[in-house]
Formats: sequence, structure tokens, C-alpha cells
Amino acid sequence: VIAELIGLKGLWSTLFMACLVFGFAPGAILRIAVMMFPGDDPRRKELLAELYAVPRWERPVWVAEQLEVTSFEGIAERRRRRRQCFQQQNDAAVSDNSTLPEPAQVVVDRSQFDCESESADFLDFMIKMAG
Amino acid sequence: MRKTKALLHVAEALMQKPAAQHWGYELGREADIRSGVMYPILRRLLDEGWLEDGWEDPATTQGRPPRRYYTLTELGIRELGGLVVHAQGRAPTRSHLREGFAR
Repeated sequence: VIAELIGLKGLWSTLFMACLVFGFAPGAILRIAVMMFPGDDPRRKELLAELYAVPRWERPVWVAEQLEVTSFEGIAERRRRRRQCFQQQNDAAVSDNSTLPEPAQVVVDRSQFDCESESADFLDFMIKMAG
Repeated sequence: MRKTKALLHVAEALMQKPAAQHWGYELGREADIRSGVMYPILRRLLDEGWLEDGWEDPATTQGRPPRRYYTLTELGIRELGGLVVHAQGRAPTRSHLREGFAR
């Protein structure tokens, strides 16, 4: 029976895939998933470090849970920061305008508020992956 | 802060050892809640100043990245302790139920 199993077509590729998913992929998937958090968010390091505390057989399920965490919280955090950044831009525009003697076109140097870079690293990564 | 059942479970887990360092994975198991629910609660507790966080000393981690830990502040012990006591007075908590089943 064992000899038949070893000779079975597709056994080795199935075994290889199982090893890949259960051994290698949880860590790799988690590394990709945590990129949804902004670059300086401590949760990136925290989740990667927590993986080592999770028993090996629980890791695939635990990583799947983290996908939910990162996709909801990571994106929410990026949106919150972007909103905060644009709010700062607007506040700066209002304060600049209030110092002018008469209504004038407000010119804000948007380069000092790098709102776009909040999501740049993750988007760059996804574009590279897709490309 | 909104008082939810999940918050109560985290509070119970934290108040079992109020002076200890708590780690994310173990805390999730003790509180018996999913990490998708627990981490937002921990973040709210940090924002409120009820928890403080820190990082493990890299010299002691032996080839793995340092983990983040959480400790209760004085304010946190007061607030979460009050929450647990208040909840225990109102309804059987999960730890009560566990004790009940264990008997």
C-alpha cells in the first residue's frame, strides 16, 4: 500500500504544497499582510513577533485571523492618518488666509504635508507583485 | 469608553495578574476572544492611558524578534478593576461560568 502511495501521481506535489503552506507560507503571508499598516506602526513588528509565540500547528489559522485584523485595522489606520494629514493642510490654509489683509488665493505648499506617502509603500509593493 | 463583553473579558484576563506583563497571544487565549477583536480593544486601552506597552529586551529573545507587552497603569487597574467588580455584581462572568462547569 505504501509503495502504491509513493508511486501515486501528484503525491509529491501535494506534499510539497502542504509543506509550503503549513511551513513557509504563514510567515510570508503575515509579512505581506502587516504591510497594510503604515510603515511606522508598531503593530507591524508586534504581529511578526507574535507569530513565534503561536504553536506551529495553530499558525495557519492564526495568520488567517491576522489577515482580517490587518485588512480592517491597517487600512482604517491609513485612512485615519490621511484624513488627519489633509485636515492639517486645510488648517494651514485657513491660518494662512486669516493673516492676509484681503481675500486672496491661498497657496499651500502641499509637499510639506506628504499625505500620499502614507499608503505609498504598500501600494508600490502591490503594484510590483501584480506586475 | 464603551463597555462591551469583549472589553470585560480582556479586563478579567488583565486583572488576574494586574502587575504582570501581558503578551498579545496569551492574553487573547486567556480572554478567549479573537485577535481581530482584542487588538482594537488594546489600542483603545492604550489611548485611554489604562495600559502601557513596551518591548522585550532583544538580548533575551534568542533569534526571534522582540515581542510587545502590555502592563496595566494605576488608572487602568482602577478603571478595569471597577468594571470587573461591577460586572461580577450584575451577572455571572465567563470566569464564574468556567468555575461552575469545573465543579
